[in-house]
Amino acid sequence: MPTDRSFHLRRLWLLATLAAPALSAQEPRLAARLSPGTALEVQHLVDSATRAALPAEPLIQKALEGESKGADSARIVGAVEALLQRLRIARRSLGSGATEPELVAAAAALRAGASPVTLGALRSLRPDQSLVVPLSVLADIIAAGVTPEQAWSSVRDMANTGAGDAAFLALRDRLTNTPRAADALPPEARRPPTEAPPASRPVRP
Amino acid sequence: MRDDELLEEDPMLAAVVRELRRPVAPTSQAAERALATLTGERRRRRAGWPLAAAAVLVIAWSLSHMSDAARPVRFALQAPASAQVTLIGDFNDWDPHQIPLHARAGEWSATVRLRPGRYRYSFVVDGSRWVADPQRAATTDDDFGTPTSVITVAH
Amino acid sequence: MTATDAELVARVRRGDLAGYAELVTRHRSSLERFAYHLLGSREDAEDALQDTLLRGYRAIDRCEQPERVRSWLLQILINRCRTRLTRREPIVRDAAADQALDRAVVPDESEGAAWREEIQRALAALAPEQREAFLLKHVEELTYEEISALTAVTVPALKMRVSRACERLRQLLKDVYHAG
Repeated sequence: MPTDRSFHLRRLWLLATLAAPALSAQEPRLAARLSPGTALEVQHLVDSATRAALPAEPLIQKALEGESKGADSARIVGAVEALLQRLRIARRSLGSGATEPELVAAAAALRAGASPVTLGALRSLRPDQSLVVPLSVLADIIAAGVTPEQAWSSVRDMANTGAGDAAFLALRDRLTNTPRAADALPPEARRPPTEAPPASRPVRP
Repeated sequence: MRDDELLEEDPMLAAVVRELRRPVAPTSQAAERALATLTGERRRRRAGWPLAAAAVLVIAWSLSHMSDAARPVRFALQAPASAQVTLIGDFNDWDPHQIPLHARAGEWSATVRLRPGRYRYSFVVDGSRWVADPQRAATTDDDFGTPTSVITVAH
Repeated sequence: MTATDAELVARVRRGDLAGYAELVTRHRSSLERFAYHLLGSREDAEDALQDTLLRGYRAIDRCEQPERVRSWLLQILINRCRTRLTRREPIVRDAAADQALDRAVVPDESEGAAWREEIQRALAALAPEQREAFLLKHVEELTYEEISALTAVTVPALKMRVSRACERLRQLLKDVYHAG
């Protein structure tokens, strides 16, 4: 009925006017730290994330990181845009229930070279547990030079055993040679020390 | 202090201590078990189920939120010759003025409370030099070409 | 604003178990670390910690300095660990994490893990009282006066223990550390 429809339209219009300032309200940190042009471009990307129900904060942090590191406008906007794209893919792969930390970790895994398909597969392996640590570990392992396929295979096998976060972090420590470990223990030093008691560690299969 | 000097003078012992200060992984379930026991005791002590049920709900809520709660994370850098070190990252708007580190025996450190998640960060030494954390892997996904590290805070 | 330790202790004294959960969350990492390194076994450390947290709640009225509740819990934990150390065989290092790892596809053994293992082995070779003093001083970063108050050992005796512990660790780890 016309009356109903016009009421409905008025309500939509009202909602739109109320929502519009909220969407375009400029994030004060961007205005304070970036040049006006850069701030505006980043703000557009932030708005489009908000419209897609994607988290804005990672994009803001990316822009602030660029500013802090003295990057030019094109580089900052490019980095924020690429991150937004990865967050979109992450959301599609993990589903609408994905949390902000999960999306951030998933975006890092995608950036490292993980396939979007593996993200969805990981979700189905751990439907009720947070994926932050497994995804972050996946990103770290690939970044350390393990192929995405091999990294996924390790993470998947561990997820299949029902392992907790700590086990994933231990896997990561094991697969990535951190500089600190290299400083502390040169490769030649793997033999047991002469003065130490006999080895009591388990024998690996 | 004499013992701090000892650690400063002996890089090997300093490396041992750094390793031992890391949180134990995997996190034990002892705390959860103790709190569950205490909840049960209280339930038996108190008269009436509604109160007991409320107590159980409160504890269940605290435990479920504990896993998402911010936890202290220590950041440290050996830089005995530096005059100032700050920490900068996804958790503080990449603002070099927010988290100054404090020096002790040549080691600059600060403890920051972080919620579970993946964070990128760097140290800024003497106001201009960007340094990745030697204790954690540097990222290869730096968009802006400066040394950056990454930390994953578990649940 | 985050509640201070003293405020949380006051809440616990009024029967607020959620306040205790918050205190536990705040200090568990340090307590877990101390128990594990002192006992060298994850299972024993878990038992000692669980025991400590139960006793801590039940005796919270006896905590004289609520703002230093971490030290107070640490004191209970030290006693629980000492009891365990006196009634068992020399420690062997915990293997649970390694076993969990063995289930995964692991192409290489990281040097970090090997170095950690050597440190655990060296710690296990120390006399328990030296290990305890060393961990409280250098890992938990307490002052000698604080340790003395917690352990009822005099400051000069503690200094001697820490110094001997450092000497022994140096001796045990020097080959590994300097090799290559």
